Amino acid sequence: MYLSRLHLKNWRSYADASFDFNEPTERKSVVLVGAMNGHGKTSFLMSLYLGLFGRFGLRHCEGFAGSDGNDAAYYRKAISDYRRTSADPEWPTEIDITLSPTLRDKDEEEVRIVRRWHFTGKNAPKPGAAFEEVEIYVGGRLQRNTSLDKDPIILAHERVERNLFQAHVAPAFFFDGEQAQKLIENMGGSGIKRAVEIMFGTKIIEESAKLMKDYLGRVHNAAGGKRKVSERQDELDRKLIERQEINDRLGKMQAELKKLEEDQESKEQKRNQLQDELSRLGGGLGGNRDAVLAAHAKAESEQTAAEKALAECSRSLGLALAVSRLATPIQNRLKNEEVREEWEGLKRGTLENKEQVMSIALPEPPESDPLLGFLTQEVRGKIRQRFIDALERIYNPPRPGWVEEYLLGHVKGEGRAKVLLQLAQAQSQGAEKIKAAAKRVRDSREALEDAQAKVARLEKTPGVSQELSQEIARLTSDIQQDIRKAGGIENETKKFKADLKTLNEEIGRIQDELARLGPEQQRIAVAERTMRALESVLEKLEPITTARLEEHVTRHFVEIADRRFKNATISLPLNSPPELHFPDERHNRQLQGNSGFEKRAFGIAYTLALAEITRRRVPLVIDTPLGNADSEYRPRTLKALANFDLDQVIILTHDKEVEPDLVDHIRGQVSQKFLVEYIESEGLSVVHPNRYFER
Amino acid sequence: MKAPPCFEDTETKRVVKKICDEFRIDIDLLKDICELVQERTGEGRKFGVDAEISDVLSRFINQRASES
Repeated sequence: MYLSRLHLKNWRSYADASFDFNEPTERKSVVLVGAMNGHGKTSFLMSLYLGLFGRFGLRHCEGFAGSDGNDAAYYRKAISDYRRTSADPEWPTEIDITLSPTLRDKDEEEVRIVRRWHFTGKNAPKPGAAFEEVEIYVGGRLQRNTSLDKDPIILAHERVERNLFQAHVAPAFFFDGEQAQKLIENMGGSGIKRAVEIMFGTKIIEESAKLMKDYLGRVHNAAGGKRKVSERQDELDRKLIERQEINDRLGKMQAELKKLEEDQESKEQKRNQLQDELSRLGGGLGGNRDAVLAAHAKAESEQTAAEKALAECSRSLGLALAVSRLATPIQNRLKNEEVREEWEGLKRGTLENKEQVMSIALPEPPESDPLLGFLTQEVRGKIRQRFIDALERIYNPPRPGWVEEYLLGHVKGEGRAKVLLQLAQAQSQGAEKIKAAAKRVRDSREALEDAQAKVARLEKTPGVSQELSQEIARLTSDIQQDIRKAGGIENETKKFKADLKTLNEEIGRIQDELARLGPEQQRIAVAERTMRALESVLEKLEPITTARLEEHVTRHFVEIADRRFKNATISLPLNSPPELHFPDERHNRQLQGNSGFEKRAFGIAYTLALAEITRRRVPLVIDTPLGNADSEYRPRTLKALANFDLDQVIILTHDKEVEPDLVDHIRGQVSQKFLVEYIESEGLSVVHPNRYFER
Repeated sequence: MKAPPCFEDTETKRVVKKICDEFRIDIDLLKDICELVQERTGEGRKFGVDAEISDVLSRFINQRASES
C-alpha cells in the first residue's frame, strides 16, 4: 500500500492543501517532502496519526504521550490546538487520507479515511458526538455502521485497524527521528510485545483467546457451571501429556538404542581392523604370543618327522632305483642259484646216503641176501658199482633252470628269500608315495618358515602388538558393555510400551466417555483447548520475534552506523533498553548512552527491520531521519532508506538535512518531491509539487 | 480475509503447528477463530457470535470424527 493522497483542511498551518502521490515503482520509492522548521513537516506526520486513529493516535503526537485515548476532554483540547487558528468556524478541520494498493498488493483494496472535527461559532469543539465524524471507504464503498449500540467512532477505529494496522504500532511506520530516544526507552517488554503484534499479527490471536474465554464463560454459565466434561477433559489432557512424555522418552530411547547399535557396529569394525592389523603382525593366530610359539614348535617337530619320512622313502627309493634295471635278472639269477642249491642238496643227500641205500639193496654178507646171495662177490661188486653210478647219474643233467656256478653265492637260504622280498617291496613302492612324502616335507618346511616369520615379527614388534591386543580387549569390553546397555534399554522400552498400551486404553475410554457426553460439551472441551493453544502461541512467539528482530536491527544499524560498529550486535533485553555488544565485550553498553544520531540510527534500523520482517506493504514516513548526523552518516543513512524494499518511503526534511547535494546520492530512487512553504503574511503553508530546496 | 502472519511465516507456522498438535486441534481451527474475530472487528455486532463459534467448533469436531 502507498499513501496516494493526503488532503488537509484547517489543519495547523494548512488551510486546504493536498499531497497527491504518484504510484511508486520498485526502483523509485522515495518521496521527499521539504519544509523548513515550522513550515509543516510535523503537522504532516501528526495528521497521519490523528487522521487514521483519532484519539487513539494522540499518544504518538509530540507533547501528548500521556494520552490514553479515553480522555475526551484532553483529546478535544488537542484537536483544538491543531486546528488552524484562522479557520472559518463553519468549516470543520478535516484530514482525508487515501491508501492505495500497488501492483504488488493484488488482494488489497483502496482504503480512504476521512475524519472531521466540528467546531462551534466560537471555534470551540462541538459537544458530544457532534464533534467528530469518520467516513471509511474500502474499494470506494462507504462502510456503513451496522451497530446500533456502539460508538461509531470506536467502530470506525476498529475498522481502520483491521484494514491497516493497530494504532499503537503506528510509530513503527510513521517515525519521528526526534522521538528515537522515546522509542529506545519504550523497548523492553512492551516494545517486544508490540513487535510481536506488528510482525505476526498476534493482536487478533490475543483477541481470539479472549473471545474463546468469554465464550467459555457464557456456555459454562448456560450449562450451569463446569460439569464433568471439564474434569474428564482435564484427566484426558493429563493422560495425553503423559502419553506424549512417554512417546518422547521412547523416541529418545530408540534414538539412543540406534546410536548404541551404530557405536557397537563401529567398534566391531574397528576391532576387526585391529585384529587384521595384529594378524599381519603376528599371523593368523590373533596375536596370541604363546599360540604363535607353540605353532612354531609344532612346525619344527613336523618338519623333523617329515624329513625322516622322506629319508626312509628316499632310502627305499634308492634301493628301488639301484635295482630297478637289474632287479629281474638278479631275481632270476637268485632263483636259478636257488634251483642249483636245491639240486646240489638233493644230490649231496642222495650220495651221502648211497652206502645205506646199497646196504638195503645188496645186504651183506651175501648169505643174508635171499635174493642175490648166490652171486659171486665179483658180480655183486659190479652190481653195486652200477647202482652207485645210477644214483649219481639221476642228478645229471641237473634240473632245468640251474646255473653252472654261483655268482651270488654269498646270498643263500633265508638271506636270499629276504633279498627277494625287499626287491618285490621296492618295486611295489610307486612314485605317488614318494611325491606325498616330498610334499609333506615341503609343507612342513613352509609351515616352519611361516612360524619362524611370525615369531620373528612378534619379537620385532612386541610393543605394537601388545597395544593392539590391549585396544582389542578394550573394544571387546566396550562392545559387551554396549550390548548390556542396549539390552537394558530394550527392556525399558518394553516396559514403556506396555505403559503406553495401558495409557492408550485409558485415553480411549475417556474419549469414548466424552463422546457420549453430547455435542455441546464436546465443543466446550475443544474451545478450552483452543483458548489454551491461542495463549500458548502468544507466549511462544515472543522469543522468536526477539531473536529475529535482533538480527535484522543489527544488520540495518551496522549498515547505517560508522565503522566503530562494524562488528557490533544489538540485543533487545526484555526489561531494559537495547544494548550494543562488541566482540571484545569491554565496550558493551546500553544504546541510550550513545550519541543522538546513533539512537536515531537505531530507530531507523528498528523501523526497517519491522517493515522487512513483516513484509508490510505500508508507507514508511520518517520525519527528519538524519537530524544532526555528520557528512559521512548522512549519505549512508539516506541510501539505506532509499535502497530498502518498501512500496513507499516518505522523507520529511529541512534544507540543512537532506540538502540538494545529498539528494544526488539517491537521485535514481526519488519518485517525487514536494516543497512546503509557509507564507507568513497569510499564516498558511502552501504545497508545491515537483519542487524542492534549491542549491 | 488474511490469516495473521504467524500462520504464514515458515518458522512461526511450525511453532503454531506444534502447539496445535499439543492441544489436539487443527491450525485451521485457530485460523477460523481468528478470521471470525477479524470479521467482527469494527462491526460491534457481537450478538450471534456464540453461535458462530459453536459452528466453527462443531465443524472441527465433525471433521475429526469423520477422519477417525
